[in-house]
Amino acid sequence: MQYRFSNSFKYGIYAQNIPHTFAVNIYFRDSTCIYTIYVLGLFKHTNTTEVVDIKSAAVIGFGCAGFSAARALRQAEPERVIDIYSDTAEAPYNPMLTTYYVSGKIDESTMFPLGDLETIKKELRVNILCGTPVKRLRARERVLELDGGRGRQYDDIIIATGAGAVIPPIKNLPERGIYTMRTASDARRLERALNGVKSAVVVGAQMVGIKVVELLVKRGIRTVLCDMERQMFPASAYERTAAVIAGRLERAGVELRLGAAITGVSDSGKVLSASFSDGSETSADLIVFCSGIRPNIAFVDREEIDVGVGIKTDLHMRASVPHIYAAGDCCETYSPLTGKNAYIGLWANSAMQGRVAGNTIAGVQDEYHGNLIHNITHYMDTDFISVGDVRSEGERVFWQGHGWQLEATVSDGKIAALNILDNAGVSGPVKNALLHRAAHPEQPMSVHARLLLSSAGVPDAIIKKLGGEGA
Amino acid sequence: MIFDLDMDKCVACGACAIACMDQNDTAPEKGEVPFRRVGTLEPSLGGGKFSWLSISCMHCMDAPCIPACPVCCLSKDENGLTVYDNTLCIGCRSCAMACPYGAPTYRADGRMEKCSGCAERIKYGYEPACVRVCPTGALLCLPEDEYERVKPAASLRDASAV
Repeated sequence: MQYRFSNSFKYGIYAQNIPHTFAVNIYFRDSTCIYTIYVLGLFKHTNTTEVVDIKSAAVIGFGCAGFSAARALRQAEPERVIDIYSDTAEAPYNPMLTTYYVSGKIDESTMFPLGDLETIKKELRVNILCGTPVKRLRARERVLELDGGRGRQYDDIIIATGAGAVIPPIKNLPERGIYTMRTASDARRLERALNGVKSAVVVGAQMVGIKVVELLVKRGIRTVLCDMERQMFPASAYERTAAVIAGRLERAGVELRLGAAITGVSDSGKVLSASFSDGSETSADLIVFCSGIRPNIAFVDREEIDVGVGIKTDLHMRASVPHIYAAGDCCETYSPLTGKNAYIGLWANSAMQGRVAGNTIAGVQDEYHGNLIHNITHYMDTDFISVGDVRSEGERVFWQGHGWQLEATVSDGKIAALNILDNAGVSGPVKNALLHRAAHPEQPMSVHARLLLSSAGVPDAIIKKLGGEGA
Repeated sequence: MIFDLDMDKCVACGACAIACMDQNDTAPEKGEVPFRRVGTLEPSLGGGKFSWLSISCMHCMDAPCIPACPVCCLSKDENGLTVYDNTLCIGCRSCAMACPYGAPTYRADGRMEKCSGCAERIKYGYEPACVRVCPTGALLCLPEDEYERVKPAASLRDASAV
């Protein structure tokens, strides 16, 4: 609980009750300076001329989830002190837009679709502490440790630190010519580097890698795409669908090195040379690592907070410690198709999870309904869609017609996962039909989804399996 | 405004789809996809009975396409209609994957288009084009309180709740 003592101060002075300790926080609303004075011993506060119950919340990280959490909390609680800790000085950016910026499809400001920092700060009335990474979270005490050992206690804390690009452990990686594609800063760096580039290696045949390949090919750059797995989209495509995708890429001039992990990179000073686990080598002007992401949660004590791939949360985005919440790409939450937690890093998930976290803190009834693992990517005139875990066991079903194809896993008579190639229009009805079936297994598939799929040419038998009627 | 279809009244005549194409200058001969689709379902797929349907954007209250758009092209207008400004659209198809009704369509230049609920007509007191021409009164677009009074028993909105 916090109390604001008087409005006569130019800045806010807040005090917090901690057992056997009284903490006075001198708080400059419009600056990053925060001082905390702890007074040890039993303290009985009296003589408050004006006591106003005011609470505080910290948001760690300022991407889509952090923004959405702060916005929901502000809408519900106009008086709440909200401090946002960011390790950059950037407005929330969308990682997905980085490749679109490098390709020239959007300008730099469009990478920041939620607005600039000053506007956000004014509209949400929050304190944004730029360049202030949180070094450690003492979750049970609800204390953030900052640089220099400074600590700050909050009533509620939302972890929204997102995820960062991973570079595989390669010894003696050169200092120049190596790129990742996750942040706005990554995008600017690659965009600046591309002038005069004749050849490139992209590591990772997944959703980010394919968009980097697309922009390189469009610029006429000789492009090698490698992955340690033997197929395209190894986490989300069936072998058969992946083979179609690979064939198209090769016809577009992309050199594929599938089943070849990058094992070393050397630098002659003029050009890089990449070596692969299959014994092959290739030279390139630059190498872009798109080999996956990992939640940014190094500051979280795993002895205190339950962590799987990301921070484990419930449907209200509560972590395992009271008053600690997590949202976005740093957390994992419920997937209705499996009934288990899953790590699904998507912009829309982050927005909804952030909103739910903010509302839950404010006591507004809200719940995240969970989601399925799903992806859609549009590149080089191809739409590739994946829903569910394609590695799940079951019978494989394939259908092709009307200019598109569908491949699915059928388990217990029901479609458990699927790939669609070249029909984005049915992706929404299909994904939502699976979500609906998971949430309401007793209900039939909706008539509108049946009609849309039927008119797209999908055979009745497959539609029935989507609706779970084959069980 | 609430959009709905009374499935007991729809005869899938297609007048709504034609009115929609006329209103929005949709040119199928140029590869443009109409915003409204009309069709029938055989009993084998329609839960044992024949079904007649007209489907387009349902202007969901908590529209999943809005948070799905990475560049924030989609929003709600003052009447609760899901409208869009595709100036910044990158053609990523994220809205298509979010929409249970298959409402987003894509132009030749990759930009998304969809039913905007005839938002401009509504602002000036007119009904949406599809609602105006529906000969059986199956298509509805009404303010929330009015809709609750006449809500159809065979509501597509209820039947397709996701």
